[in-house]
Amino acid sequence: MDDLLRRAAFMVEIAHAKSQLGCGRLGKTAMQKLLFFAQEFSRIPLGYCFQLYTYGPYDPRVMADLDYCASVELLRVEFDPNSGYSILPGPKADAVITQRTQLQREFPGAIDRLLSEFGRDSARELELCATLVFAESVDPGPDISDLSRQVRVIKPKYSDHEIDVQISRLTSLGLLRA
Amino acid sequence: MSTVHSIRIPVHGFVEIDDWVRDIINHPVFQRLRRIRQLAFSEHLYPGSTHSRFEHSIGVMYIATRLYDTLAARNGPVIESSLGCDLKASNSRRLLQLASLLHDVGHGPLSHGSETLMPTRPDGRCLRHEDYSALLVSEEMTDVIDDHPVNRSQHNLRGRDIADFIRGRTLSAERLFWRELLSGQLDADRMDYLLRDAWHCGVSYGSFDLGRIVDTVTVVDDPRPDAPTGLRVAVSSGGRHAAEGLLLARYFMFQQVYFHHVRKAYDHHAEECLRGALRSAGLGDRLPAGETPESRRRFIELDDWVVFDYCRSNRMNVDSRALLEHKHDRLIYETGEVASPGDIARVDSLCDELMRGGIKAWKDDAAKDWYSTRDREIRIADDRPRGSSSALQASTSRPLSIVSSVVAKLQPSSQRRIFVPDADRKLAQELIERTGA
Repeated sequence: MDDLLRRAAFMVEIAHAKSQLGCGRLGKTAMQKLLFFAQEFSRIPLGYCFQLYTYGPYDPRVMADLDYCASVELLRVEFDPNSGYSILPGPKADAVITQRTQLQREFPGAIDRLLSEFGRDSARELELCATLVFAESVDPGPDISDLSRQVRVIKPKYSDHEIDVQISRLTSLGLLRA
Repeated sequence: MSTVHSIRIPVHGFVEIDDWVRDIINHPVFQRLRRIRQLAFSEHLYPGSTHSRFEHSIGVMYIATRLYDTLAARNGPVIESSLGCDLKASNSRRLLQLASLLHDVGHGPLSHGSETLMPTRPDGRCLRHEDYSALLVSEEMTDVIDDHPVNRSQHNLRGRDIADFIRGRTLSAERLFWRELLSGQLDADRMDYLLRDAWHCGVSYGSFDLGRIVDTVTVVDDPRPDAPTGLRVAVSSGGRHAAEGLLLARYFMFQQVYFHHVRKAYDHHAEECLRGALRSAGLGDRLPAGETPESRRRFIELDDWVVFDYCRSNRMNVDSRALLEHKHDRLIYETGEVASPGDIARVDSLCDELMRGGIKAWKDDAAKDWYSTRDREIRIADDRPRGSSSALQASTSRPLSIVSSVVAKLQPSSQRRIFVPDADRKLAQELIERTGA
């Protein structure tokens, strides 16, 4: 399968599943972080390589793929000055139906599980979760309080409570060390 | 007292360096970059483009420190209060300088031409040249970084700090902020390669107003409610057209130089020769992963000269002959710049059809995004009313794609092409005509 079309098909699947959840819009940050968790949580090899920027784990190729999907109408990307971007399945989403079917066969139920765990999170929550997982992979300190301290330094706008809640959740999912 | 030395490079002229930087440049890992060409075998198309990663790396260091110095002089108090740092006491300038200098030491032979031969990690992701750069900086250069007397007496940086900065694995708000100058949409790396590659190729497409960008670079408030540091690198409104010029230069350079079909043909032949050289050296089909000292030693030994040697020793090999005799494969079919899924499928089936017809056809994709919106968007600072400026407050801003209709119209490239050996061109054309493509 062509790598670009495989990644594009995965994005269409996410947009489709998220629109069916009916729990708010899917923005560009959320798409970026859901793809991060597709690799880290669902273990779906998409070939993205995330690096840490001021706005959390990020791979510019995700944005490039998203722009491609929008340019060939696999996805519809709308911008509202008040609420930001919304990503929806586009009028030509069926052009990658073969690749979508193949992904579903290759990873049965994986996208549903990904969305059921992270699909209702806000972009803010997703960014914090992704940063926690990324930070631990960079520098696994002796205990979890080190991680909390590190993330507080690079993300000072999150409260201690927010960080602690997400650490517990990610630990129970096996994404952070117990 | 450190002595000031000068190196003269095209585009920027004299670049001043101190003893520490000179010692790093003289290290064998950095000297190897003299033998890694910036644009592989592009000289078959643009005869002047024989320059190396060596001068590019010095150019990136030069631009990055200029940008840093402008921001520190213009916005120092805002940066210090937002990031909670003391720029005079911090080693951030030195960190950015060395990371910029060393960011490309992990390039394999032929620069980007060898990235497809980098090994895959157990999680399915390919190693990239940044991974090798980080590895070489932290493991093979400790004598001129960690243990260097200037570092020990003044900076206390570790090779690991530079490696984390290069790979985007640094866990410091201040360092994440400065990293934008090395890896962002307004970064020193792309500013240098566009100007340098255009200069050596003898084309004007890569020109943009570097001086204006350096002169107008500033910081703005990060508009997002969940922004971690509250600060972003931007340009003031006076630099908007220079920022547009940078993006357009990138678009033109990719279309006219980096993605030129003749250059892509030579990339293919060079990659095949490198594959042959790796096999001849008993390394299999992939570059060494660098996980052990021996593996790193073998990686460091690989440079463009290995490919030249292979070509000379295997003159009858079809890819060697292409490089030695200027007989490259020919473009036989291509999609538009934006290939739809249907176009991509058509290229796949056409290529299969040609191969079934006994033709050694191969596919190439020229995919690139010129500009990303949202998080990495270049921001244009709003002009402040006269008398309202505060040294401790960053400006508000707007995204470039909203301000600029030219930038808003840029579409990513996803072009696909099929090449065949020159001798098979006629047969391939007939086959393609029969399919009605």
